[in-house]
Amino acid sequence: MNAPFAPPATTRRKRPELDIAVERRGPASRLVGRFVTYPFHLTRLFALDAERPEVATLYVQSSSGGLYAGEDLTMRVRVGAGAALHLTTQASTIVQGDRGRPARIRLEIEVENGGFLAYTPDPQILFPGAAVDSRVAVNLIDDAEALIADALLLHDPKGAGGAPLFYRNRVDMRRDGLLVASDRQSVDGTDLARSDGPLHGRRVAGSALWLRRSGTADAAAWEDASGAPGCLAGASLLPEGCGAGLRLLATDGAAYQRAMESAFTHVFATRFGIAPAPRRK
Amino acid sequence: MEFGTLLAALRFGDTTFPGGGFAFSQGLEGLAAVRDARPDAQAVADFLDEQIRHRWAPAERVTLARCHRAGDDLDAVAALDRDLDLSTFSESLRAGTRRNGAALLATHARLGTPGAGAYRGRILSGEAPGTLAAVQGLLWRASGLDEAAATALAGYQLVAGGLAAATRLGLVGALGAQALMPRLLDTVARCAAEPVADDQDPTGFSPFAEIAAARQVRLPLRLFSN
Repeated sequence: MNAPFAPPATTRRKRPELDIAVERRGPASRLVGRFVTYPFHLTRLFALDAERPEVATLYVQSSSGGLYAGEDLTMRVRVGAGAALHLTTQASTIVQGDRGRPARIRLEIEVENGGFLAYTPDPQILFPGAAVDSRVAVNLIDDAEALIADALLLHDPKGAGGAPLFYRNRVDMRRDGLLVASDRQSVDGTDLARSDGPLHGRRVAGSALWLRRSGTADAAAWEDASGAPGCLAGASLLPEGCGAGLRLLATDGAAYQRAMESAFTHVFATRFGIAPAPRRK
Repeated sequence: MEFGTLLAALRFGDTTFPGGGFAFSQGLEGLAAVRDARPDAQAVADFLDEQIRHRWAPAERVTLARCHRAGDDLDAVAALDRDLDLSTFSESLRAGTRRNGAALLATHARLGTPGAGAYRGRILSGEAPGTLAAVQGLLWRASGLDEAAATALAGYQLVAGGLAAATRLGLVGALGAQALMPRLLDTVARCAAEPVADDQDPTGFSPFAEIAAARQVRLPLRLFSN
C-alpha cells in the first residue's frame, strides 16, 4: 500500500551480505562504502565510458556457484546525488533446487537526486526443483533515475522433464518514499516448464523497469530499440507516471542477452547522450 | 447457491445489463501481432485460459474477494483498489479496468446500489482508481451476492467478454465461441476453488499477454480500447 519507505525486516535482523555506496567526487563516481561477504564478490570499479566519466561500472559475482535452497541473502546499493552506477554480473546465476526450500534474495536500492543506477544482472538459471523468492525495493529521491532488470532461464540439464518449484519476483518502486508501482510476478514451476505454459515454449522471461520522471519515458521507442531475433518485446508506461516497463520472452539466453543489451543501450543513450562501451563478460 | 442469489447473478451477467465491458479485448486484439499469424480458435482459447489462470485468478480475483470482505469499509476497498492499480503492469489494461469499473459504478449509482454513489465520489476526486475487480467486489456484495457468486460472475464475464471480443474480431464464430466456453468456464471453476487469504496480495505471471497488450496499443486500426 502507499506507505512511507521502510527497509524490510531482514535488514534490521542482519547486515546485508553486500552493502555498497557510490558517490560523486568531481567528474567521477567513487565507491565510498563497501562491505562484501560470502557468497558475494565484487570487482573493482571500472570507468568504461571515457566520455562520461561519472559512470562507474561494477560487477558482482557469486563465489559459491549460485543460489542455494534455504539461503536468505540481502544486497543494499546506495547511489548518491549526481552519481551514476551500472551494477551487473559476469554470468548467469544458477539456482540450485535440491532441497526444495526457496532461495531468498533481497535487494534494497536508494538513488539520490540526480543519481542514476542501472542494475542488469544476467538471468537466474532455474534448475529442476529450484524455488526463487526475490524482492527488490527501490527508492528514488527527487529526479533520480534507475533501470532495474531481472530474468529467469529454465534449464533441465538431464532433459528429463524436471521443473522448478516456483518463481516469485516483486519490485516495489517508490519515489520520495511513496509507493508508485509494484511489479509482481509469481508462477509455479510446473507451469513454466509446460510447452503450452506462459513462456509459450520459450526458455527465458525477463523484465526491465525504467524509472524516470513523468512523461520522459517513451515506451514505444524503447520497445522498438529492444527488439532482437528470437525475442518478443513489449513495453508499457508504468503507473503514476513513474516510467516504463519492458517484458521480454526469449528462445534462449543469447537472444535474451541481445535484447537486454539493446534495452540498456537505449536507456544509457537517452540519459548520457552516447552509447555505452561494451560491458565485457 | 440460493435461488435469489442465482437470479441476481444472472441479471448482472446478462449482456443487457449495462456494465460497459464490450469495449475491451484484454490484449486479445494484439494477439495476431505477437504471433505473426491470425489466431485460430485454439489460440483464442489458450490466450483466455492463460489470462484466467495467470492473471485473473492470482490478481483480480484476489482483489475482488478482499473488497467483498471489506464490505462498506470504503477506505479498505480504496486501499485494495489502489494496490491492484499500482501492481498492474500494462497501461492499456490499467486504463481499461478503470474505465470498465467506472461504467459499472455509474450504472449502479443510477440504480441506487448502496455505496455506489459514495465510491464514485472517491474516484471522481482521485482518491481511488476504480479498478473493475474492486468495484465488482464492492457492488455485488451490496447487491446481495455472496463472495463465491461474485467470483463466479466475474470469471464468467471475463470468459464471455473475451469470447465476445474474439467474435467481433472475426477470430471465431458465435457457435465456435460457445464450443470454447466449457473448457474456459472449467478453468474459472478450478481457479475459483482456490482460497483467497485475508492478507493475499495480487500477483500473476502473464508476460505474453502484456506484450500482446503493448502491441495492441500500437495497431494502426483498433476495434477495442485494449
